[in-house]
Amino acid sequence: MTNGKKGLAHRAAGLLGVTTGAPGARQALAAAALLAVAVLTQYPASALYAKTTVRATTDGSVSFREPEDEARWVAIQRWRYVTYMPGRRWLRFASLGNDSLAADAVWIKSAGYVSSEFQSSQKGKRFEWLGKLYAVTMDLDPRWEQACRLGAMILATVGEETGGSVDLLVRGMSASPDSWRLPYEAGVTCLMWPGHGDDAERYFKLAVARARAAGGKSPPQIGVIKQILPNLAAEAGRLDVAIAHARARALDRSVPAVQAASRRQLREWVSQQLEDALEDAVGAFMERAGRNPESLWELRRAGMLAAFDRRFAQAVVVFEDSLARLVEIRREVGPEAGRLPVGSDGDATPEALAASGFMHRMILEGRYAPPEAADAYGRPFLYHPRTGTVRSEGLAIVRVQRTTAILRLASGFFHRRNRRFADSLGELAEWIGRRIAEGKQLQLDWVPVFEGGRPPVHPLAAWGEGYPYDPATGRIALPEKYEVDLDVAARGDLQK
Amino acid sequence: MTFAGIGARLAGVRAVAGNTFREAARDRVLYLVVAFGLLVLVSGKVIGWVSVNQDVKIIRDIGLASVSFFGAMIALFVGTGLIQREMGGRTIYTILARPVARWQFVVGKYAGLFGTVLAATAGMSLVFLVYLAIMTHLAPGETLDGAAPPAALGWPIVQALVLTGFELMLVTSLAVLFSSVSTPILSAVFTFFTYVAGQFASDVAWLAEMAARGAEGEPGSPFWGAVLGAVYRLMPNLDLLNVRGTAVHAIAVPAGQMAWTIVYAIAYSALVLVIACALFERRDLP
Amino acid sequence: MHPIQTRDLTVVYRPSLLARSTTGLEGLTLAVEAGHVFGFIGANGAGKTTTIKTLLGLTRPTRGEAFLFGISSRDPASRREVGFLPEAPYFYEYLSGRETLDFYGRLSGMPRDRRRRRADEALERVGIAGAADRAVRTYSRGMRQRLGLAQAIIHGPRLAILDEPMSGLDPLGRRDVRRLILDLAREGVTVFFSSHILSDVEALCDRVAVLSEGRLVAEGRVGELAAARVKSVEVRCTGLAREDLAALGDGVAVDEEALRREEGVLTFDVPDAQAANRAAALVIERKGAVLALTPVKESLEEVFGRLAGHGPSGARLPVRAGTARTQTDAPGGAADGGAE
Repeated sequence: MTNGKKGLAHRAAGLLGVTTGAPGARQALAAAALLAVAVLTQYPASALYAKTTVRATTDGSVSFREPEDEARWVAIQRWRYVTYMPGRRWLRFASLGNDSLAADAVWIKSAGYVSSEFQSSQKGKRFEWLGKLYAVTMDLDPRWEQACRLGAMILATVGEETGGSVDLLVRGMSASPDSWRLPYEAGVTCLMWPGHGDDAERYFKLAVARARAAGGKSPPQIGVIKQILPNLAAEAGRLDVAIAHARARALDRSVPAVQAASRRQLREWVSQQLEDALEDAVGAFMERAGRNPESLWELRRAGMLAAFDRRFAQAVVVFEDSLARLVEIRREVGPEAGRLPVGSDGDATPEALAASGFMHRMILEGRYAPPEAADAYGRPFLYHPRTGTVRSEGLAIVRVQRTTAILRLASGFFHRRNRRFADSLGELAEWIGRRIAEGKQLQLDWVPVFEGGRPPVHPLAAWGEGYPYDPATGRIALPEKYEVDLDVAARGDLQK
Repeated sequence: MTFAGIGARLAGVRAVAGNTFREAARDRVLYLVVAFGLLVLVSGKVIGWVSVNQDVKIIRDIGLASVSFFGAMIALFVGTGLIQREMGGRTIYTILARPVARWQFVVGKYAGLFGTVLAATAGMSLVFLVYLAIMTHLAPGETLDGAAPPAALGWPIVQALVLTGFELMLVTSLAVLFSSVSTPILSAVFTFFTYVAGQFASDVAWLAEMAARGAEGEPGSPFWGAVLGAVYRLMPNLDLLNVRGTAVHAIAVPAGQMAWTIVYAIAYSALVLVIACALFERRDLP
Repeated sequence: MHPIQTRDLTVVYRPSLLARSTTGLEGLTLAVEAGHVFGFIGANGAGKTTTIKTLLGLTRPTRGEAFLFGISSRDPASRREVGFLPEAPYFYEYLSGRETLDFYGRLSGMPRDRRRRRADEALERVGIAGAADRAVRTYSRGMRQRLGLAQAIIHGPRLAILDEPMSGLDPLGRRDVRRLILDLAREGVTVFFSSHILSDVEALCDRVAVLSEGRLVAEGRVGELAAARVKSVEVRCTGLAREDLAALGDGVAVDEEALRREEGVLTFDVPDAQAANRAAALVIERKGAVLALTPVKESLEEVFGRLAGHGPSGARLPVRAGTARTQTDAPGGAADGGAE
């Protein structure tokens, strides 16, 4: 019984405390009890730890722009270029689980990478790894807001990778649900990115919601967002939203500049909304009757504006009873009223009256208050029967003024850069459009004007109007009739 | 078990502990490790200077990581040598010839060693906190656009240091366990391995999940998933005691989590000690 | 209740699963009476240290049991009244002698005042009171041994187990230790010590046990063990000349050295008692004087050599020379007189 199997069994039994008596059994019991306690406490501890460590949003308020972007982000994690860019797990291992420290290391590496890449001559492949470096940094320390913002900024500008920049910000947003800065940056980036107004709006809304949830004083950036949001909505075609915003702000007297700006926006958008509605009505008439109406009157006579009237307090056209009143006034005013174009029935048509500005003048003089004004500027709507185009005159004037100003600036810019004037608006537009697409031209208001690299379409193009460009001088003329200051009070303010 | 009995037991443990503490305090390796740790700690400023505008965060990261890592190294190097030196030097004969139970010896060694580790770590933490306060005061940094930098001496940092203390309690118990049963080099290797492996417990959990679910076209294996899951539950989860990643962003750990985690650390350390005592008890001294 | 009692104590070493096991101790059954000085002798590797370690619970027996004062050796309480001096004791080098004793006193559960007092006494008693506050690092071998003794007695044990207490000591030191052991015995402390120095064992011990290759080969009073054989009788007389011895026949050996030393005195050995009688008769016949008739018993060394020198395996084991007498026909290897 000295060696061999019996000795081993004896030892094993001794270890388990079976044969050596009380002490061993006590120890085994104590060990079992402690093991139970350890394992039991491990469950809540690890669950709570997971919650603290990974604080991603689960309410879906943050999402990638496209499903493909998420796939791309996931794909970034899979590459294994160990020699140059180790993956996240390797870095975790090397830092012995100090993820935050590993993130610092990668961040320092990326700073060096940026500066070294500046010297690189391979134009197309510059900053190739930058996005991946930042992605790894984010994965190791998702809560590192500063790195996220700085990285996104660098990616978007130097790295010329707007998509990657926004992806980075999305990752940061989801890990830091309290941060409003990150969605704000994302919104601004998308704003500069042609064709991503929707995304900009989405991120801006998220920023506002988060800032509100955080409580306290609203940061100035949030105020800026609140001004931008209606524009975005309008650009996206959601005019009711935009108008609702602008109405609210127009009533807010705290900042007069904001109030005035909001009123301007309000007039534009209301007019646009009315314009759209009228064109819809024309289209409906076309479907029913197989042709365009000859005038807006015909639309009214066909009863197609009843719903329209209900919906819009400011109805569009001058109606028959008020036409009578106008004719009456004209008779009163007499020859001083100037020559009025006469329609086929020998009398002034409402359109003629509107086109002559007579109605407008009468309104201004307080002698005529139509039951419903024309567009929000008090101007008539112009109707082109052949194409079915409806245009708000006031809106057209405003747009032409603005576009002409931009064209003039653009022409001058072209001249400075290319030492000559553009041959045509087409060439100018193409050049500017290319610069916008390359991200070099960042004026927000130029983007819609030169969208797609094509010259802007004149609002009254159906009437054969265009922007007169003189290639010799590079000047874009503004016809006299557009030299009107329409910054008048909106209808609601006429009484003031 | 009378009070006198408990007192006698504790007297033995205290005597061994006190002696261990004195012996450890004379160990040159201790001071070497501490010096190195402090060096790395203050290097945070230099490294932070290299990066873009992120001085304070890197100081925090390096500081917290240093306290944990070098604390563990103290436990490892000083601890594994301690018990083996005792046995090799045969001072243990005269000690165990006293009415001192084997477990009292092990617990006494542990207490002395942990006391040393704690003292050294507390010292390093203090230096770290003071350094951090100075650095933050001198160079607020981190203002890309007026964003306020997180508080340097916040409760989260203190929490991280407290949990690091408990992490070291666990690591020390492992060092004592391994050095009670194997040679200094082997026990150092085992302790280091367990320390590193413990940091990646969550990866083991992830592996378990992957194994169970299957990935990239391969079918899952519930068996391996269960095995890995059990490994995760039973291995020392040192990552639970690592809240440095959130502390550097001034995010506090909720009290409930602190409580559960601390209980876990204490229970696991005690478990390891009981095993060490049991193994040591059955060991024949050469 | 015996201070020490073992029953079929067996220790088998198995260093690793692959190595062959070696038996350190086999079937040792022993009992030590209270108040005795008990000697434990054997060659190197015979199992002395193994036995002591098992008694103190440092090693677990594979089979059998050991009891100190009736308490199993596995229970730390069994060592409450036991003092132990290991062979070549090691201490913490940086502590002073006094601090070392304080440490061990604490381990024995002594309260502080008693500890201090007894430490002073022990230091005094072993003779290193002067170096008490110096670090152990500065102690010589002999001082360490004394310190070891001090820690073994500081708590006033009823049993002192000493493993080679004389090793590393000069003759003065050995004398002091011998004196200490006797003092302890006088105080009623049971002393159990193992030693190579057979003369010490002979001089001090009441009983002795002989171990060889893990087995107990002899145990009993010193006198009993050695008394088994009277090898010869030594006769000291005057009035005889060397030539006269021829009449006594064979087997007479003359002590040349004694002859040289003392003029006129003849000292010689005869084989047995009858021959002694005849020798005495011869002396009287020659008108001499019988000065002394001394039976020469087998010395312990010879017993040892006989019992343990040729172990069961048949190998001759070295034995420490301890006696001054040269024997012409001593069994075993005593004539080798080889130093260890």
